[in-house]
Amino acid sequence: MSRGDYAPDQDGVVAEILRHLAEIGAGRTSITDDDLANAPTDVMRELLVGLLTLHEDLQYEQGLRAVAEQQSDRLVADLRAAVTARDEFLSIASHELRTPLSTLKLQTAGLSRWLSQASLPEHEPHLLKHFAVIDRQVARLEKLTTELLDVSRISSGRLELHCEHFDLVVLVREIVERFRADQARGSSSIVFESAPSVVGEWDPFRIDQVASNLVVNAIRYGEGKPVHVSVHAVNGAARIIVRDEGIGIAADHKERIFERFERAVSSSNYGGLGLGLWISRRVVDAHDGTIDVASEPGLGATFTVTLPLSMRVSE
Amino acid sequence: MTKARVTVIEDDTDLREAICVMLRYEGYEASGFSNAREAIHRLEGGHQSDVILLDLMMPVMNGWEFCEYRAEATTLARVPVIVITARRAVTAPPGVSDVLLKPFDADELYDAINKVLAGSPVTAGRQRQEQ
Amino acid sequence: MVTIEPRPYGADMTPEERDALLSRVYVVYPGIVFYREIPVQTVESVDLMLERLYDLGCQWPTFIEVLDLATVTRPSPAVRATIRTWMLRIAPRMTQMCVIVEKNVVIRAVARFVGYSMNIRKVSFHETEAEAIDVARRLRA
Repeated sequence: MSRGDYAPDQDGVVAEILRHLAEIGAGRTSITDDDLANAPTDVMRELLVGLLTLHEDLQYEQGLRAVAEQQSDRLVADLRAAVTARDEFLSIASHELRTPLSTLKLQTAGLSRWLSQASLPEHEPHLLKHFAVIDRQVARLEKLTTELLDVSRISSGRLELHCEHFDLVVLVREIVERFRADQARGSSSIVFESAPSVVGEWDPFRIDQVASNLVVNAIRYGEGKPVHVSVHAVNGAARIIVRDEGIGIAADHKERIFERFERAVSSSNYGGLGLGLWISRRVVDAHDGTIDVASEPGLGATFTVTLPLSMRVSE
Repeated sequence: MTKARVTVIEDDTDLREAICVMLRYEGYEASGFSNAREAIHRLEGGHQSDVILLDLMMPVMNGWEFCEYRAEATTLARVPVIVITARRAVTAPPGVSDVLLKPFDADELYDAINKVLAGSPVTAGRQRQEQ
Repeated sequence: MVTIEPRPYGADMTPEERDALLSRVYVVYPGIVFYREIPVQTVESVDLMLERLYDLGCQWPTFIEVLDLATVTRPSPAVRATIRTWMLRIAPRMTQMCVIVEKNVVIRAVARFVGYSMNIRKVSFHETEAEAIDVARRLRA
């Protein structure tokens, strides 16, 4: 074996040091405290101490990293479990709420039916007004529980679309009519304008949800001014536009309003769970569409929903 | 024409009674049972019924188990079943004629029952007999 | 003042022991801080004494440390990690470290190794306390 230009003892030192370096690189060492004590020269002793210290430091760092990784893994597992538990709870809660809602609906129907049979003309207008209020509350409760359920379902990836072939203009016009009928005299008027028909394949229940949510928001934040709703086909896609002339949305809020539980105004001003736009975006995404907002504070907001005419992937 | 007879199997007392009250307003005969086992016992024991309204989520015996039993039971199998449930995405058990989603209103209830009765051979037969 | 024995002084140290440790870090001359390390170091003892070194040294824009390692045994990786963390803060203010190792080659190797990994600008090794302080004073003049 060639020893280069080294004297024999130097060569031995070089070989030993290189061996130790190789071992430490592989995560182990054969240096013991005895080796340090019994080293033939101070030079060797210092070198061996340095190598042993290096090995110990490397092992220590590795140990710290392993602990940190374990903690991080545990944290992630805990978080996942918490999210699953929360979604399950939301699901159970919203299902449980539907039974008493059922009873309420039926009983108020029964009461008003009994009332009309009992024939109390002087009391009837008052009682009917009370029933109308109760009916509206039940409808609101129903909507809130549906939103809760949708949030938990969508969060756990269980949003299923049941697509049907239908005319979007008809669907949106029905929604507009519904809101016009619900509105008390003197609040926002709704202007509807559309192409003759826009036919395609979407989930009618879900698109109704999205369009209704946009109209509700437009009325809620519209400061009583007219709300404009339009449906057209543009560049081979369906487009629903809901525009209000109300308080508008600040620039830094425009993306946040689509987040869960986010509202552009504080909860002391307006009620609701703050889920509508989040659900709407998830639904529109599931249709491969887009939903955007353009707005200036004080100048109202324009929400644009763009949907491909069908979900079928073209080859 | 004799009134149609509806059997309501629902463990929630308030809802069960609310359904029965609304059915009677509309001229149906309504009997309520808080658990499916008791309902089976009475239906097989001679209690007549033209349609069954069945809740799915019940203790002791749930709606799915009831339908499993009904599949093998000659008397019960002849009576159409409408399932009432809070869960939209659920697949109805086999042999079920319709699904009513909670919370439904009175009109939805009547429509579902009338639809099922119109298509049912038992009541159709009874109607023919009475004409 | 209690005598410091060759055993670990950790989180359970008494207030008297704490005072004894702190008394081993002091100013010998303006701009020169003496640090007499204890035989068996712990993360807690090093934390305590290096904080004192930092506080005393930062009275001047820069300072020199005279470090007495004559009686120490090889420190554990956890102690070395603590020293490293402190030295990252201290080293920029410290122009020189004069280390007393007497004839202890093992400790000299550890000190050199740890010193290299901490960017300490200049380290010198001495066999006696008198020599170390003398060198420090000359550098400071």
